[in-house]
Amino acid sequence: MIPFVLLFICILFLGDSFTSTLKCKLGCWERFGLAYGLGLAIFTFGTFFSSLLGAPFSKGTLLLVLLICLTVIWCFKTKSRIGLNLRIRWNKPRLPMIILGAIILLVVLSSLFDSVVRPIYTWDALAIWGTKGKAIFSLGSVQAVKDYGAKPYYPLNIPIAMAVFYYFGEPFVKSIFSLYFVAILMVFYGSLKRCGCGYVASAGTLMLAVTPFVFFHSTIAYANLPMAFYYMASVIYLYQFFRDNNRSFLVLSSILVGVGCWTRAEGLIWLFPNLVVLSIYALMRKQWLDPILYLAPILAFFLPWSVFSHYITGARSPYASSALQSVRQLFTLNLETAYIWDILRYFYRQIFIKENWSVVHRVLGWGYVWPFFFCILVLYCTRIRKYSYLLSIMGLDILALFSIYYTVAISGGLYRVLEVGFNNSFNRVTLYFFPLILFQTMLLVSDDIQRWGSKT
Amino acid sequence: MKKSKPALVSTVRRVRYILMLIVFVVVFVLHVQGGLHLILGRLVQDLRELGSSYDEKMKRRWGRYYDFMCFIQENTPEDANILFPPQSSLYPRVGNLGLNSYFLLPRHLHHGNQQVLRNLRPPVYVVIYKEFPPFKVEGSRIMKDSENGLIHYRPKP
Repeated sequence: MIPFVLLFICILFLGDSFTSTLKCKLGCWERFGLAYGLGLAIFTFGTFFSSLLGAPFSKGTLLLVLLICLTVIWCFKTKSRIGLNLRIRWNKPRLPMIILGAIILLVVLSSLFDSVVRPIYTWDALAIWGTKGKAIFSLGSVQAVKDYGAKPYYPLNIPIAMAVFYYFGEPFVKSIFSLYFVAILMVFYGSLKRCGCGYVASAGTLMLAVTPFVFFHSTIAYANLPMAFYYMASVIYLYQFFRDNNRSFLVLSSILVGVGCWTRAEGLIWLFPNLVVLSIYALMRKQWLDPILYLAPILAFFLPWSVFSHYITGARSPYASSALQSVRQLFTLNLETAYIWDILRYFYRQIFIKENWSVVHRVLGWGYVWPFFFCILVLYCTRIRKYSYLLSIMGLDILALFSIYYTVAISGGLYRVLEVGFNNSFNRVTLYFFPLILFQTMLLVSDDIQRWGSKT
Repeated sequence: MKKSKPALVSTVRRVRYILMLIVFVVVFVLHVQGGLHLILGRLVQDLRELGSSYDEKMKRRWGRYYDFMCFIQENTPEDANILFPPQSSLYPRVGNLGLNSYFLLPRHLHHGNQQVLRNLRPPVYVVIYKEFPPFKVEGSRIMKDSENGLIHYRPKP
């Protein structure tokens, strides 16, 4: 237990040191959340590089990687005269906040307890992530993923993290995902509190924590939740950049998307909504360099993995050829309208008819968040302009989701996804931008509550 | 007349605020109550599993498939090459090499036919499962039960 806690503290310290070099003004909740997500990703990326240089996957190598990462960051910090920031501002919470906080803590502890009690048991968690993590751990090399585990073109952030945590036993491996759940809640709360009011932020965080599908994902070992963390945080900090025009948030957002690409293969698809909206913003403000600045950290994370995947494991992602085919169809206007209708019907069923907002909450549902979002959007349709960038990103996310299904459809697999028991695929993909929907809803609610609160 | 317009706007905003509060409170209560109900249900399940061993938990989730993987693990050396049936509706679990690898690491698992079998480096095993293998394999049989087991492939020189 003690070595695990020590490693966890080191990862937090690494992540927080890295975030502080960007000079973003962040609250303590956001700092902790980002420290875990970024610290773990930098650590796994460093381990991946050490393996490319021929170092075996061992305790010694891991310690060396951690020391090198910390030394590099601290050299940079010293050169840029950024000191150690251990100050945490703490306001005395009021009773309603304490009650909401206690319920959130209970949910978080339930998730951690579940990861300790239940082994990794779900299909993809075993076949893809668990097998790769176990192979790296037991064979002592990152290149073991070439021979073991399904989908060799999936990036290695989560398998390497799992391999590291295998040193402490299987319950600790699953806790990676519960800790990502905590990180999501922390970043969500911190950023919502910064943009709105504390009560609404607490209520929104509790709603996110008890959303059946989000909680469910914190207890199974799929990479969707970590990817959701990176994507959600990247959009929130991009939105912060649009609000303040502070480039440190742009760089932070870009790094988070880059880490997303290092977490799941479809990370690149979710880069496009951000990039398109950022390009429009840059065009309107004549800040031409911003999109290029945004792409640089993403390529730094994506390219090494991409080269490794193509030339060392020999894995080719099937998505690229299908995507090219759908783009070709789009340009020749040779779209399959039957597929489009089928996909739209499927979306409608998933959002409005299936278990998502039925009175009985099923494990795979989103609870009442979708109808809540639509109600609030209708009520505050006059304020849409204020949040046009954030809403545009979400609109493009839905378009990206549609494109994914269309791409699957033209490659012949649509009916497998829609009909043959792949019912949770919609929820798994929407998980990436679903917290943003709640975030946007809470921003609108918070605006009005603050306005009327200040009047009274 | 001019004064009534701001008053109307203010009333609309007030009504909207009240409506929003009602929607917010109703959704919040329903959502949190439903979510907590689910989480507490799962917590109760977890508490029941607290005394079970890893094998018992996995057996509860994966049933006979887990038993079969344990059987293969016990009866093959770590450097074995093992031939499995192809992944299809007939063999959704046993045909999934990624899934099997989790339980059988560091053994090398393969799909294929007689040609593939001949090219594998010994020790080589072939899984007997339902209708697999559909071809004749020379070697000794190690059976788990009357239908499932392994063949230790030893071709005649």
